[in-house]
Amino acid sequence: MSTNASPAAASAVAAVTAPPTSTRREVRRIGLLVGGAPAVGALIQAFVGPGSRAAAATAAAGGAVVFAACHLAPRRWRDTLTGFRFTAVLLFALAAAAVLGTVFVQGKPAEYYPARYDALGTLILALRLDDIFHSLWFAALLGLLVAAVASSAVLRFPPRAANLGFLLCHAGLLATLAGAAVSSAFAVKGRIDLHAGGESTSKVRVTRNGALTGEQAELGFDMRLDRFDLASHDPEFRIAYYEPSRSGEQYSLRASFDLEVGVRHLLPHGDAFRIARLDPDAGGAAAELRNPAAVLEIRTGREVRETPLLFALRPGSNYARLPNGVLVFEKRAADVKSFVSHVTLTSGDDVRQARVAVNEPLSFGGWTLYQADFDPRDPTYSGMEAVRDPGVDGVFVGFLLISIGVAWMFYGGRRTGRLAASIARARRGDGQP
Amino acid sequence: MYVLAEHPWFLAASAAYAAATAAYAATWRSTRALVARVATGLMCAAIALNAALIAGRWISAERPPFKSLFESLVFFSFTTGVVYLVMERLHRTRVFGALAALMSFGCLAYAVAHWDAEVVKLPPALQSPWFVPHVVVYFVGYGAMAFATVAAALQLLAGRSAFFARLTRVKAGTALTGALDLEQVTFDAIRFGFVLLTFGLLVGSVWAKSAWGDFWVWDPKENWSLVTWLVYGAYLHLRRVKGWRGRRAAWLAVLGFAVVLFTYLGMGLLPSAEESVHVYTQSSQS
Repeated sequence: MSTNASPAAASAVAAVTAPPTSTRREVRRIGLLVGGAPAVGALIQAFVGPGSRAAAATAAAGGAVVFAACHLAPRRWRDTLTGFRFTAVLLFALAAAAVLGTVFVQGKPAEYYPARYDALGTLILALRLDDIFHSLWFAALLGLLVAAVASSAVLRFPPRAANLGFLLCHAGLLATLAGAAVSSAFAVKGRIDLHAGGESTSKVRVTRNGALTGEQAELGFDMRLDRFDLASHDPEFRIAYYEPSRSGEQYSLRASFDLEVGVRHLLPHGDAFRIARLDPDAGGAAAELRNPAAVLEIRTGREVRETPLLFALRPGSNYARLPNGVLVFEKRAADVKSFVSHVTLTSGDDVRQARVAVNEPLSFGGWTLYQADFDPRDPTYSGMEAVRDPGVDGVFVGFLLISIGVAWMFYGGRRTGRLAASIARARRGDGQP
Repeated sequence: MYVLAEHPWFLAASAAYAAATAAYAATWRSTRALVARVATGLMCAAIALNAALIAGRWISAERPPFKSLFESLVFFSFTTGVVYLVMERLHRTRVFGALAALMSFGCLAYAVAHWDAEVVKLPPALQSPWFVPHVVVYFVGYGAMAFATVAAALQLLAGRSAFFARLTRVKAGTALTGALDLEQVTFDAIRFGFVLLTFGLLVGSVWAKSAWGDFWVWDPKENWSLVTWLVYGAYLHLRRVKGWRGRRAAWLAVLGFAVVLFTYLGMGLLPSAEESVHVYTQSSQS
């Protein structure tokens, strides 16, 4: 708009470009809901202590209240709650909260925040930005999501083929949120530390956010560690190239090479080397005596030289200097490949022998046992996590419904036909696909 | 640059992507069928070389090559290229080829800057049947979002530059048979990517449950994966809102991909990164 336009013309243009009144009112209602819910949550949390159960209860109660209120209030409120604009704004609000949870370190002791963030630390604690995802204002936002998803799903009931994907996806979201709320409120998680051949246990040391609470929970069965297998990858010998840092005090690994005799390798700054001779069993063929030795042929510029015999396990005799770095013949520490607990579980007459490994949890007596830790200094020790989670089935069902629903929504039935038709039109050259 | 001299196949794949970029850029000017076929041929060659890099690494490392940032960049380059080729076939246009090939080339160039000094073993937590599906689904989804961003960027540029506006109408490389609806192309790619991001997020969550006993622990990487999903979810919802098509939708698609890139590469910048079990370290990822 030009700066010398008349006031009348300017107001006319403004009237044309301004959103219609109904849209403005909808935006206002959205602002009230998305701004008001966390504000109410923040107010409640001034009187209610933090915790998973309080958060789950706030989300559930908040969702129910908003759902009921929007269905009892004039229809425009329900239309707003089920509208695409509202959902988009709510998704952005949830995204902003999730981002905040990564900007501020979460779950540290209260004294950490003033120490790290100075005056801002007090504000962080007051708004519970130190534990956003258990705060009641975040729970209130989730409650709003529950109300919106439930309202949108109810609107499309009974399902038809056209909206089946939408319904499944939103039912899945509800099932997932319900399962997560049950998990959050009622799941018990704890540690079990056992030694192979040692005493059995029937208790779990309860943890919250990874820290021991001092409480113990009954497993309801007896658990004994019969054997603990800690397996490592085979140790490797390698030729490694290091370069010094700018200060020259530290060296960092730049490249590493397999023991391939005769293969020429390039290095930074135009240098090169190859293994001229390799004796893998220098020192003795027995594993405990093994000390591989190699002679390297190094090319720097036009100069070619051979190193003396480098012994991988003889410090001081295992490296060769280059103008810009150093080649070291060395042994790599053996990385842990797997650790597995072989346990016996006894519950009355029910005796079961089983194994627990990483990614292979074991379910027994309502608990699921996870392999968590080992101690390289104590090969008999096994650290396990025990979880009793009544919400897990709801979450799994929710995931399944979301997966089917999202796929159906975008590619099921009618929409697949529409996509195929649009591509066919594009191929025919009808312009708009 | 010694890395490229030491690894000639990597150099060949990079060079093929660079050549494909140039050839696709030539299709913006030329309507000759030969130029178009050469561009597609170079892209196919680049993707084949890229696949060979992945397969070679898989064999030499004796594990899926998705552990380190370097390895994932090589795979991202591949999925971006493959998704583009499928879209080229579906939409019968090479207009997006130059930018898509440039993205794949950029991934490989960035990988060179983050070259693994040493191939590391897979820790027990990553030895899971969920590992490969989780990574593959996510990176194909990222590839789709990269393509959507290319289309959205062209849509935005077409509104400002006569050159780019003409691109959406010319028979670039003889492949295009009508005016392109760039917004529809962007939407098609995003909804495809969104389905994959959803699967990836859920598979990751199930995997976390089987490995650690928790579906979700609000780890920074998890949070940003959720943010990505929420932003694209908002895009899909706003498409149904009056006034949110056109340039606004295109900017939202670009914003979505910016979040993808931050989720993928920017975690180390966060103050909470030290708390994460998923953030890439120098040569490792979980």
